[in-house]
Amino acid sequence: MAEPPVARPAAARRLELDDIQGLALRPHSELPYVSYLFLRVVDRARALAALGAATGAITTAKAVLAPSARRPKTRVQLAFSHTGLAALGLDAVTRASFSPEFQSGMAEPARSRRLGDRGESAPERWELGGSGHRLEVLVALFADTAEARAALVAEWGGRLDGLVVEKQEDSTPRKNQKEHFGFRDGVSQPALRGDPTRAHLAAADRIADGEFLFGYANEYGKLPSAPRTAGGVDLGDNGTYLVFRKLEQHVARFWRYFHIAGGNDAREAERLASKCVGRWPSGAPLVLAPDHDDRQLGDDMAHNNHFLYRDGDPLGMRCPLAAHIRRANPRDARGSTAADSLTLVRRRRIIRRGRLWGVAPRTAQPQHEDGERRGLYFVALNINIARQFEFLQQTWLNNPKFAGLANDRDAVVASAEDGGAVSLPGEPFRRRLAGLPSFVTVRGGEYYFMPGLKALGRLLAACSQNS
Amino acid sequence: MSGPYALTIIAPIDGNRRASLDGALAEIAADLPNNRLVPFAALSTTHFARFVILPGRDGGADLLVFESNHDGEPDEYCDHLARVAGAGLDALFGCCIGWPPGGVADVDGYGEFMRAHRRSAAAFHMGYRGHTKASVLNDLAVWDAVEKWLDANEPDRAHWKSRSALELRTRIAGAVAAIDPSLSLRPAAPDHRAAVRWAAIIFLLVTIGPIYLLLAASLRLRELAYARSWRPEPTLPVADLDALRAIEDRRGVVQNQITHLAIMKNDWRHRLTARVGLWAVNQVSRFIMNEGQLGGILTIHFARWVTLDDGRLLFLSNYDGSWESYLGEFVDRAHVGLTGVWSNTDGFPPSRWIVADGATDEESFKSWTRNRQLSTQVWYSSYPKWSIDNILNAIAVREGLYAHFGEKECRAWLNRL
Repeated sequence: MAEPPVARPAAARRLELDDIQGLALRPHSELPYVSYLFLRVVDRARALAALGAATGAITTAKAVLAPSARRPKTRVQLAFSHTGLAALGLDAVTRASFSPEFQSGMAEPARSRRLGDRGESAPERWELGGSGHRLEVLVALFADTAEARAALVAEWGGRLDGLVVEKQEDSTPRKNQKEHFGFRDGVSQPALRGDPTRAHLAAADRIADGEFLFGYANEYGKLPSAPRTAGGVDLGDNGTYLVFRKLEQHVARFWRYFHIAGGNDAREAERLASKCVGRWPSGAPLVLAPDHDDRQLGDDMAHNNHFLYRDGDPLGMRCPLAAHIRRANPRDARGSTAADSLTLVRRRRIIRRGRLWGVAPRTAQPQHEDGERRGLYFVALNINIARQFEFLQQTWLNNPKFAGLANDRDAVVASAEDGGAVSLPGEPFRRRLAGLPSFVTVRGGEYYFMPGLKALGRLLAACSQNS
Repeated sequence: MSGPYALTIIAPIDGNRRASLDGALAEIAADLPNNRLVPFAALSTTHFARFVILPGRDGGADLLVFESNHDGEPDEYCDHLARVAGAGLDALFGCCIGWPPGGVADVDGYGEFMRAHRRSAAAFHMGYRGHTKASVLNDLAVWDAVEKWLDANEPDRAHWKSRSALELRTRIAGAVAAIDPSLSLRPAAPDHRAAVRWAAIIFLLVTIGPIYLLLAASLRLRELAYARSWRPEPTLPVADLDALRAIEDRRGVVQNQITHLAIMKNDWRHRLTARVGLWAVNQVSRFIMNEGQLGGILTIHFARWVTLDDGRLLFLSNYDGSWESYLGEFVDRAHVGLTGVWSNTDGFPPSRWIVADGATDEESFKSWTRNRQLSTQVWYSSYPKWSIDNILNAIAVREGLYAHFGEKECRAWLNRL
């Protein structure tokens, strides 16, 4: 059994790149074809042996930070749900050292209230996870072509002896870096402060490593308490929690709503939808481009995310208080001062690693159903699910009282179950978009633990001990 | 006017009547507004209220706590309670030791029981000082009527854009008065809060300053010893945590509540420090941060600390939003005051000079809080749909309806809507 890692001065510790799974540092976006294999344990001993043998094939951060010619053309990441750890034989005392959210799972009833998973989005209706499936082990396979992905899936299907594929979810490439509604997304993305290749990012987007990895100081200057065995062996080091949600996007419903609200004028429809998003389709933020889209700005990664709210747009005249991006990252707008707000926001951020599924709509702003289902695999990394992902979901995105509002919802991601409108501040007085239907439905999800490689060895050893 | 007021009744439970008490609490919880025992909808002056059972200390009797945040002096309020919720008081406090055999019908016995078991709050914070429940509800209705007028007149925004904000406000005021003549649209009463604020700050610095220095110096060695022996507490088992969470985030209610019970450290210096700290928090809430927020937190409707006779410190809070958000604000913004109070109780993350560190240890502080949180049996909010932001905004909207505003102030008023 490996020794627990020595305690190091947390603030000074450098990222152990050859022990961290690559996804923590990079989205692998040059590999647009992803398969998420959700596996179930059928033979514990064989599964443990197969996972142990596969450890060397897991892609590390070091490999993906290599010069582009040497980066692997296929990549593999591995994570476990709480039921997966139980199925692999991890004892109850050790499992109890993982985060409570991870232990209860995403479909727990009180959690559904917090996450807003009700009505059409309720776990009873999920097609992925909930009580219907055992999504115990997650293997994410990344490839540069559809053929390479198929080969990778076949290879891993054979390699993972003792496990069977319960569900397979395949991504589709992004078109022009836009999600299905037609907006550039993922513009505002925090990076680990210890990532040597991200030192050029704005300070506000460089977040303490301990917000995303165990074994490093977090934004409070503390080492997050990590999972460990009853005997005190650390299992957290260089690992993190991965949130997986399958979201369906109702694209025709989205644009139909905004076309009607915009008096059947395509430009007005686009303006109103952009008000609700907080960015124009190109990615240009409304704070910087209040009146019309600015493609050049949208494409300019050096400027399309450089803005704040407090001084230039405190009342939301440009970017409404209820806009999606203002809720998801309020920047300097919360709290009594800008500095106070920025500190608070740094303690809530998540790293997003989302992908799309289903074919892209054939036209921009489609108003008619084309019989296809499509959406987003929401994938997020964070160290404290309650303080980061769930807080964002409950207190900012789904909260009708966000920023002092009375009954406003996030038009893009929130459910229509609780009603709500979106106020668009303006002169002489606000306009209110009412009667918004749900544009996104949750179709499934689960919480996973994505371990560091050495900790994975200790985890598998701890599982084998309890036979 | 200085209300609303805090009432806390704490009485030992007769162990033989526990089942009956549990049954009555469950009956009330099943239909908060209209149950036959304590029909909260009829308690027209109660903003927030709860009944909660505290475990006895060291084998002592369990305690039944009634918390209310209400308008009117306590004696007057107790009379009102007896009239509206007499059956409930008989059913609940009838399970406690010392309840008069005649119940609320025994006016003298009832009054004596309430006085004997009333505990004053060591610190009490209210989010809307000086506003009765009736005036809050009135102002929410005024605000709602204004919003409805704006909804209906949205198509005429272009027309109003060419007119002055003053003219628009006059039009709105006239329309609101016509919609519901029963609404009170009176302008703001003069307010002297700002004037006393600086005086209060100076007074507090002068009084608390020297006491703080003495206490901090006398406690420093104890703090160091405590920090050496202190270990983070294990987090609550997930089943217990999920049980607490099961009663949080109630559908259709924007507030949550906390009942929290900590044991005071057994040392006179800590007891004294806690008293001074609570007194200071109370003064700050009354005279300095008396317009909604406390310590940078603008989500607290009502909160109080009560020192129990058995040396424990009870904390009751009624706040907007999620537990994670509330506790996050404690850590991010209000850690100094909270550490000043709670560092005098067992298990709290180590402090420095009484007010530093402590609650800044985010994970440990949250575990410590959850480990001492109790399940609340009955909890009632009069404003399930309205956050404190909404209430303060509604008050400002009503006050601005006829205020002497210039064009610019009028525009700012319109931006509140």
